[in-house]
Amino acid sequence: MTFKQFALRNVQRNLSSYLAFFMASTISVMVFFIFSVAYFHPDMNLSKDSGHLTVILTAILPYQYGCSLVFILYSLGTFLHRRWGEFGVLRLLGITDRQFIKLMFFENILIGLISIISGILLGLLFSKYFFFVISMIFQFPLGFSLSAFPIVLTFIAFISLFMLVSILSPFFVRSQNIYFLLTKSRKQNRQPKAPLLKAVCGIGIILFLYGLLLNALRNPDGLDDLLLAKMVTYLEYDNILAVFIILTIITYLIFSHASTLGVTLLKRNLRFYFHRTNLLWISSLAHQAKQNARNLFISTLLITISIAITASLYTSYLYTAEGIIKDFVGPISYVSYPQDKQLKENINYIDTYLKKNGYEYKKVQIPVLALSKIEDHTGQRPAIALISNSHFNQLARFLGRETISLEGNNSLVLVWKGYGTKMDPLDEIEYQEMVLGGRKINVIEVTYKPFLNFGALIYYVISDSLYHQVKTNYPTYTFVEYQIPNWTRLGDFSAQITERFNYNEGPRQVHTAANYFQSDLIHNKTYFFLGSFISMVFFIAAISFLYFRLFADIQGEREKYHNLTKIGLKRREIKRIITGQLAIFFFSPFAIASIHTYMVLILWNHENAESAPFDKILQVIIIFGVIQILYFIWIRSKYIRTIFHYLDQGKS
Amino acid sequence: MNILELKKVCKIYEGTVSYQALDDMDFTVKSGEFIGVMGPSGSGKSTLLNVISTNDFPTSGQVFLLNQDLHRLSEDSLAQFRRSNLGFVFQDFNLMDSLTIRENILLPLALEGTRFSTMNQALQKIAMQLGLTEILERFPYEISGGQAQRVAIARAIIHRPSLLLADEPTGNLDSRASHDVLNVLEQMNQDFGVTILMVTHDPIVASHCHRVIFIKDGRIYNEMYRGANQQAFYQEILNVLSLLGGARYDF
Repeated sequence: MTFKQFALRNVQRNLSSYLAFFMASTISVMVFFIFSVAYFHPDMNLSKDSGHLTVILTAILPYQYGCSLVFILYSLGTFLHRRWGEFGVLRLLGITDRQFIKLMFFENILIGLISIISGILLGLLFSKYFFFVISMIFQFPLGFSLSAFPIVLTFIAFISLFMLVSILSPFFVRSQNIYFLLTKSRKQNRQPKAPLLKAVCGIGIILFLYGLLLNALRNPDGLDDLLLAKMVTYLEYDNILAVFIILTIITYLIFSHASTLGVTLLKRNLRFYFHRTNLLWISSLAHQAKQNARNLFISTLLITISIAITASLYTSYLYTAEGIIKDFVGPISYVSYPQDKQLKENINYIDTYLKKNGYEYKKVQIPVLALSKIEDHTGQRPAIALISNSHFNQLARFLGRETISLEGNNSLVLVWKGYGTKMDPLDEIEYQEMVLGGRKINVIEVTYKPFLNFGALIYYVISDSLYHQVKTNYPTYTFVEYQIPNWTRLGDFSAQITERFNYNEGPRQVHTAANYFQSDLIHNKTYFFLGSFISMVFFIAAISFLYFRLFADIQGEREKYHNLTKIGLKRREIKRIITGQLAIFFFSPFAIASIHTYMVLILWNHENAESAPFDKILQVIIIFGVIQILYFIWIRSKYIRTIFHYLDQGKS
Repeated sequence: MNILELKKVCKIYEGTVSYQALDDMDFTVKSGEFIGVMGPSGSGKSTLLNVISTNDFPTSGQVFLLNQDLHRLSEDSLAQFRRSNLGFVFQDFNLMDSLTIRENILLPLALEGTRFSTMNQALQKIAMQLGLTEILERFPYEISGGQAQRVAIARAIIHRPSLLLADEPTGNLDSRASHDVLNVLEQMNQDFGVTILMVTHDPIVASHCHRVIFIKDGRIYNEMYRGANQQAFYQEILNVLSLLGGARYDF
């Protein structure tokens, strides 16, 4: 038997133990392959919208490759861990380091080749569905087309990945001495001492952090004042990062500290602890708490990320219209400059069209005094304008908001931050120092709610008397705002009026939300589809970490159950213990991840809380939950079968 | 009263070369006896123990424990029977690493669903007798081999089984610890009337028994009762062993 044959037979006869590692690799290859087929698709750049997809894929491909590397390395690490005894024997027989590396290399390349081939085949099978969905999104037929590029790319990418892995893999084993390799399974697991103080401190910190987040949930604007978040991140505006870091810390503490406290409390309850099989599963949880903590932590994080990404892309797809209209006050806004002679005619044109085509609509028309030129709000200083109290009230009633009554020099300031910028225009002027007609304005309130966008960045709402006094000093602009419930269907009309009113050069601005709707919808759909695809892969990776963890320990476990049956543990009881243990192991990360996902999304969307509704997030969580339950059922039966098979071997 | 009765028990391992491990085995164990089983490697000692302990099934013949035909029971009722009527002591102790000594000893009672106060009383008593009171809160890897075997004995008899099966209980121990464990077994046998069936290689260990059964090639080769003198009994055992052959015993 040559050395190569030895490696080949190792793989052949260890096939069942290679299976998990093999599957992990195959899935990674498959996803990479599907993406690269899409990337090289000749029709992909035909449509403007799908060209966008190519850009996303360019970003995704290397990212996915990196994740595959980590994932495969990790799987290999746990897989090799199971074979330590075997390696101990080889070392005892005097295998040299060189030979060992060679052995690892052959084995990995063999497994790598098989999984690359099967991954590409599976990819070919599934890419048909992938393209089907993609062409549904972009609404143009995208035939299945295969060139050699994606196959070659996938092959080269992954064969080099497996080479890299096989060069790294001996490090998992080489540093250990023979005795350690041979006896590791017996001696290693020491009961972690659980200092109660540490656990209580951990719980204290968890409660404190949750308190911070809950406080932020109840009062989302207060999130900016999340002092600790700023201290942690030094990133003043990146709230979501702060939330994520806080949740990461909480997750870690839950598994490293709170879990030991939980187990300790269970143990303290002696009547419960010493009741039938409780003793066995609780002690086993406590026993593995330390090793499990890291796995559960990583899995929870990955599960949180995948559910949160899917849910947020899902809601932003469902609420595309709401997302756009957030930047617009109404679906059509008309800003007329003083020299605009066609205001009446144009508004008439819009009204006629809407009436003729049966759209319900409301509109409001209000004059605005411009202190500085509204035409270019890119100027050095933010454009400032005035609105009278009664006109403001007209607008407020139109938008269904509270009216206001201003006396004397009192003023309400409306701020529009502009498109997607985070700059606050108020920071750039001394708005408290405003003087009008020789009277100093007294600012009683500042609001950031959108009232009039696309004009000035700052509006002073002033009393009618003051307004009339200064009216003649400044040019008057006219704003017309529409509200149209069915605006999303106005795409063609929007393009038409934008063209007709000569938006770019004429003395007016026309802003239509519907202009953006179609393209935004397609983008959001694409993001949702690709995002959920990647999230699923992440999710499967996350639960696979749990799977690897479980099966890395199975030798010890089946020995344990073997001994326990000798003293009379029933099969029924073994099943119950395993089910309980696995359920805690599988569902605690999921439960925590679900709660955290909800918190993340609410805080993420705190500016428009209506676009993160509970029921939509729940739908996503349920879908992931179903996958998780199916996976649990499969793992449980596989696990029990493995244990029972071993128990039956003792008999004949 | 007969605790255990084997009737024409045969065990054949099927395979490419089938192999008869037990051949028409017949014997009985009376209540309160302390029996040793000896024989060279491959003589069928382990198979015999496995068949008695219901961990393995005989190919033919019957095993009666407390007048019940064991191998007619279902898997789960067998487990139930095993844990209420049998106690086990193994060569490698088989203590659970994740449980403290206290928990290890209480395990059989916990599985039975015994009331907590009853459990504690039983534990106090047995820990006192076996000198384990000091180490109850430790874990198995924190105690010596002799202590571990005493813990295993405590676990095996805390639920007052009808029969204690011991498989080379001193096989992993040095001579002092062996002596210690044997004393405990004898004490349990004399003071509490625990019936013990012990498989051993060691003639010194066997000389503590009331009766020693010698097995060769799956059959009972000889059977000896101990007189008053342990030293003389030891000599007799050595004589039989040298006739048995197949293995050397150096002590």
